Amino acid sequence: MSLIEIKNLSVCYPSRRGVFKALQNVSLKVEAGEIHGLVGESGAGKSTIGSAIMGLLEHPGEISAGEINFCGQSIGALSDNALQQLRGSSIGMIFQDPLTSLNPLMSVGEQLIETICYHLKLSKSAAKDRALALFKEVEIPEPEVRIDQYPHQFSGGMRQRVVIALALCSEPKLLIADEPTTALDVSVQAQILDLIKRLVKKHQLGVILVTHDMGVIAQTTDKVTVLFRGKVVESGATGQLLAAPQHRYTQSLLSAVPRSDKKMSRFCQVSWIEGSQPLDNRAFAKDWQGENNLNLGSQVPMLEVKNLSLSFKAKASIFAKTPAPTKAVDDVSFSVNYGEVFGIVGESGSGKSPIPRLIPRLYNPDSGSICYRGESVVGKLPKQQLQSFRRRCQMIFQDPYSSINPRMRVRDIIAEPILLYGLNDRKGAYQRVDKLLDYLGLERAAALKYPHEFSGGQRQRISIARALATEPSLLICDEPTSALDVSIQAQILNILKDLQSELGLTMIFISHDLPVIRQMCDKVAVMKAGKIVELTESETLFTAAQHAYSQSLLRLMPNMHR
Amino acid sequence: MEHNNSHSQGVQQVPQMQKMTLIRKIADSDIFYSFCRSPLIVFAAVLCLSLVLSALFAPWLAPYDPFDQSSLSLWAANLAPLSTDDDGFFYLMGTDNQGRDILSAIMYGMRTSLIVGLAAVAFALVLGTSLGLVAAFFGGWVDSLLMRIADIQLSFPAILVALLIDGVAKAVLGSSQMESLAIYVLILAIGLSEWVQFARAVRAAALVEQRKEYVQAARIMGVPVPLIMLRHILPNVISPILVIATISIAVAIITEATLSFLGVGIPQTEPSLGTLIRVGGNYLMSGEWWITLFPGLTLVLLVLSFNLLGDWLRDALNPRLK
Repeated sequence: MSLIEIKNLSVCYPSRRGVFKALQNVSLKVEAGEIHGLVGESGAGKSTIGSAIMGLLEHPGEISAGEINFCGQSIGALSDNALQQLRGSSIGMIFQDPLTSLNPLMSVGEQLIETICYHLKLSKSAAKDRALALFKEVEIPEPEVRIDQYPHQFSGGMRQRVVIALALCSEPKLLIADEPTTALDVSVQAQILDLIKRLVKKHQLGVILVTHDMGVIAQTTDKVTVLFRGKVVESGATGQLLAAPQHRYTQSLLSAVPRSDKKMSRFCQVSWIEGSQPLDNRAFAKDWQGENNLNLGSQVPMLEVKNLSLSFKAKASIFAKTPAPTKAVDDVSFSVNYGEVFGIVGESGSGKSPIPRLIPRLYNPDSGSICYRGESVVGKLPKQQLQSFRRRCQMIFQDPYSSINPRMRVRDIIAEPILLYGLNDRKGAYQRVDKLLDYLGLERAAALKYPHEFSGGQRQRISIARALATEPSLLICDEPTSALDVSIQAQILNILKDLQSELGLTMIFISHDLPVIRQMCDKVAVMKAGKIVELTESETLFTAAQHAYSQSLLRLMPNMHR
Repeated sequence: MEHNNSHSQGVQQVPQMQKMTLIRKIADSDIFYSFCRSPLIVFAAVLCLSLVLSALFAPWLAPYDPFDQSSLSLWAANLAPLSTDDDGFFYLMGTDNQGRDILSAIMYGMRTSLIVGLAAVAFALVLGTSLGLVAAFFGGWVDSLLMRIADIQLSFPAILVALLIDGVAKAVLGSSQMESLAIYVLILAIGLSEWVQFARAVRAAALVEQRKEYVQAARIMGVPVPLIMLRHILPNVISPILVIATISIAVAIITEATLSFLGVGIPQTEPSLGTLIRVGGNYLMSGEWWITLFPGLTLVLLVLSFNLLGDWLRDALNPRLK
């Protein structure tokens, strides 16, 4: 008998405009001691399965057909009370964001002890002993001290360990982990996944691991089910499925994952997921008024950053001692040559995010210099010079949902910089918008729509169109694909590659994702705690990293091509 | 987020017309849908609309003209509701001490109340929104200064602030001029006592919007600061403003009525809901209850309908409650 068996499960959300089927005829089985991966892109319904098992479907969602058997018992037949009993004691859940799944006003010990007392009916002191044992089990150092601390005193990885301890405290048989490592850095992710694997072996747990990351699937799971738009596409043993995918969707999904082992010239398009036209409009490239950087044999690098520092100061306090300023960027120097893609990689807090905001002068550096074509662009600049620099230096942001104004039409969003710099009159600007939309594979009708009518990938194209509107020479991409699905990521990265080769753009590419960096960049700077620890050619970094930190990053990245 | 996404993708989309007419767009919108689903709100809207319309068209709808001295007769004073006077005129809600028809006086009185309410809120809205935007965008000492002024003002009851401004205006203008300017002074006084709400809400919303990347993108482009505030931030903070404005209208109408009731607002010669209640108050003890009851009821209904609409608007515009 399987631990949990889902048979022909369908979940639907009736709404005003018809019934949305989140899951259709999904069947899967999880045995004890097995990690079952659910993988798919956003909207595939992978989290809905977890919610359906727990009876936590958001209103107005409902199970419309099928059944869920847990240890041979149908969950649908249970009363609300029995379901809650089951939910707390036999099934544990780990959420994506460890910060919001803990109560910030209770110490972690209190939260654990409360749950243990409730489910296992133990006395306070026995519960505390058990809590300490659990802390040891999830490898939190100094459990006696840590148990009395509050969630904000833990780092992200430690917090996720607490959440795991909390999920384990009622001795569940099944764990549902919904993107448990998505909010974490690569190195922490590896530790958490290791921990889950060990716990599964020790307690013979069944785990349903929901993730979008093929690397995590490859390294952690025993079996995997691929979902697409609420339907099971393919299911099987992980090794076999990844090595020889049968279904076309799985094949294209796997091919879209950036490889870390070798550099490819382009990504495979997963065109049948979200239709798009390839960028083959050469007329646009001919029409381009910006300088083509590729044929400039200049000796001066395009952008030279020297000894750049930025620290975030805490306000002076009346009573306590003012804390020392945190150095976000600490003595960073690098230079970017014409037509080059320069990568900056690092984990959260490494200082990679302030840099793209320092260059176009969103922040002012504390010290150091930034030279664009040999001319300094820091400090007080004549308005003329600042404007012309800004025109030549544009940026693409991480989150396509917040980086474009939701209350403006696409046409006005893209035309705004053109009109602002007086590059064209309104009519000319709108013509230019049409050309840009053509070039980026969006329909011209898109010009009159508002951003909410587009998907994430399309929005990112709009964002790129806006950046290109002023014909810049330097494009700063701040994690341009981290918020996107892999198939969309492949499309956007292809667009960026094409831009670079057709328009001769110089790029600074910031990412936390090493395989993406390898595919995109010529040179890479690895950052840690505000400093550059290694700066080298991208190929050299991936084949022969020098610094110990870069080596550990490379070793820890989840990899399905291994 | 994920759920939202999947919704819009998977649902069988109504065929999207390239150009929908405005009426169809409104009929198709989520806000209209939520409007139609609540009978209470439809009722409130109908009530509000009929009160506003009856005030707007009072010269044509009202049975008598309360300003027409010639038609007033003291013989018809203090008549009870549903009575007819010696000349055969019928008074649905009775008459007041000067023989004015209460119903007509209410319809004309609502005009004053609504004008004061709407104008005061419009004034407060413009003032509060601009100060809130300025405070949010510049931060630092500008922000501190504006918000401390707001804090100080909030520690006085709004009615006291309005009284104070009214009193100062009276001292400056003298009582003869005050008579003709009373309504403007009232608008100014009530507007100045309500801007704080707008400023605080706009500042809070603008601070959130400002952190979003589209504002950073505009800054990197070098869009001038006033333009960023007007074109980018303002349209995105409009929904809290709308909600507060609707509820503020109700508050402003009450404030006007209170001031007029206290005798410092609209002069007695002009009817407003407040002055009508005040006049009636004098006769309450002698048994003429209708002079004060009907204007009072009208005030309650007017304020209630605005409050209901405001509450509904707040829920309908809040994406988290959908």
